[in-house]
Amino acid sequence: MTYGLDNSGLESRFESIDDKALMAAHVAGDPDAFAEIFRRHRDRLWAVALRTTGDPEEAADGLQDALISAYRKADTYRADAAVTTWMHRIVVNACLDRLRRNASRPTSPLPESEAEAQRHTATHKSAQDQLEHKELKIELDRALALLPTDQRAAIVLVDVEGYSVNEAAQILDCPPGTIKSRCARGRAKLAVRLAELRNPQSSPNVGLEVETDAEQGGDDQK
Amino acid sequence: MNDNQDLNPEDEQEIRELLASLDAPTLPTVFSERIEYALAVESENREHQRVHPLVSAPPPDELQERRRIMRPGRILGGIAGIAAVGLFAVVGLQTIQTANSDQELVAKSFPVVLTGTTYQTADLDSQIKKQLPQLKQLTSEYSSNSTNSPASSDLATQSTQSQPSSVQSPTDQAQEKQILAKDLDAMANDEIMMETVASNVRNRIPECLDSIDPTDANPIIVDLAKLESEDHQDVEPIAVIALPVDETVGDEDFEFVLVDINCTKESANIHARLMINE
Repeated sequence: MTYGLDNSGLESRFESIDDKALMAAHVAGDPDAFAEIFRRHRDRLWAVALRTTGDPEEAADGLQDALISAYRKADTYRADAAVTTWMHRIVVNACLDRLRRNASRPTSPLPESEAEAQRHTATHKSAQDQLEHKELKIELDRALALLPTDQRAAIVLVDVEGYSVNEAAQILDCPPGTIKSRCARGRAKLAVRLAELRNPQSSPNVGLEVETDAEQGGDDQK
Repeated sequence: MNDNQDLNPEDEQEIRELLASLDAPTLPTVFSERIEYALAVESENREHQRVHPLVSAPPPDELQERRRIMRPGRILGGIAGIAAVGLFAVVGLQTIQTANSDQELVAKSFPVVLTGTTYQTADLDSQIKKQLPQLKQLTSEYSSNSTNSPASSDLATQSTQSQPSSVQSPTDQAQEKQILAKDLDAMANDEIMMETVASNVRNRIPECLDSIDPTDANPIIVDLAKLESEDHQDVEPIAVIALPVDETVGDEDFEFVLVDINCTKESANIHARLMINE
């Protein structure tokens, strides 16, 4: 077992083995196979968890719960979808479960590192454009975190992570039409939020109050 | 602009490009190590359970504590800890196997009997019904003896081996170290390991019960047993628990529940429950 140790040996041992074969090896009892799957996909899974929850601690807990679950349920993986799709599904569901359980807890979408980066960048006048772009991204992250969870999950998968609508539908276990609908509505809200950031005087009546999960019923086109 | 209004294609494209340009975050080392550690524990448990299904995973509380105390740089220490736990469990296996060969073992502090019963997943209720006389007797003895003196069930009295000579309180870290330091051969015949298994079960049962029944039930772990799938391929450790009904204690006032030893509050896996007076 090589969890937590130098993974270079692991990497070379599994270099030519694809994810599905790794999953099969894990189910067959190979103690290192799942570690390799985790190593390959951890950053992408983390990105999805972080942007789905909007909170690093929640994301880490959700990711850990999901990975333990995937570890235990690996024998239920049927290889009709990519391993990464299957794992994304588990991660997204674990994160959404956590969000639903903690529905009353406010999110804190701005990671510390982003804030620090913002401060550092601000000291360089010549980097003004970069700063503005950075601010825009930070604001986008913030606006994303304030979207209803289902819309956020759809946008994170399709627009941020680059999954196709069909793949996202598979991950979120809903029809492709629902994904399209959630994405369209989510993008519209993001546009409103960003428009206000860029020009606060222009749209004083824009409803910036972000829709809650409870309000989103009926926005799905099944 | 109304936030329910459709975006024009240009604005939508701009939003999509912005979203696609978001930096890909890297999993922070501290979280990565924490998850690796949790997976390592999971891996160890899987290996142990493959060897013998009655060795349970660490209770959730313990994992939560590990979650809190994990810091960068401690991972090697953690791995060493896992190895120690592995050694501990191997010794436990020997003891459990001894107990299995005796078919019963009653510990003073923990009202747990290891009968070696293997239930089949099919028609669990009728199998428990067959066991009812034995379960009733054990439960009655436990409930009527609040001081947890040695049980004197048929099983226990029939036993000519493995009667406990001494019983320690539930193990904490210091005791575990002390136990590990003891001679391994002597450990194999010691009931303390049985207690460790029972302690793990007891740590988990209240959490299971929270999701089973929020009333103030005082569960009694009656038995550790095994549940075998119909094809005999999967065997998992289960606990047979007696739940007092209506807070009264009597021969007819218990409900028996079979749960996974490794189940958590969020995934309590209740295999069967049976009212004794049904």
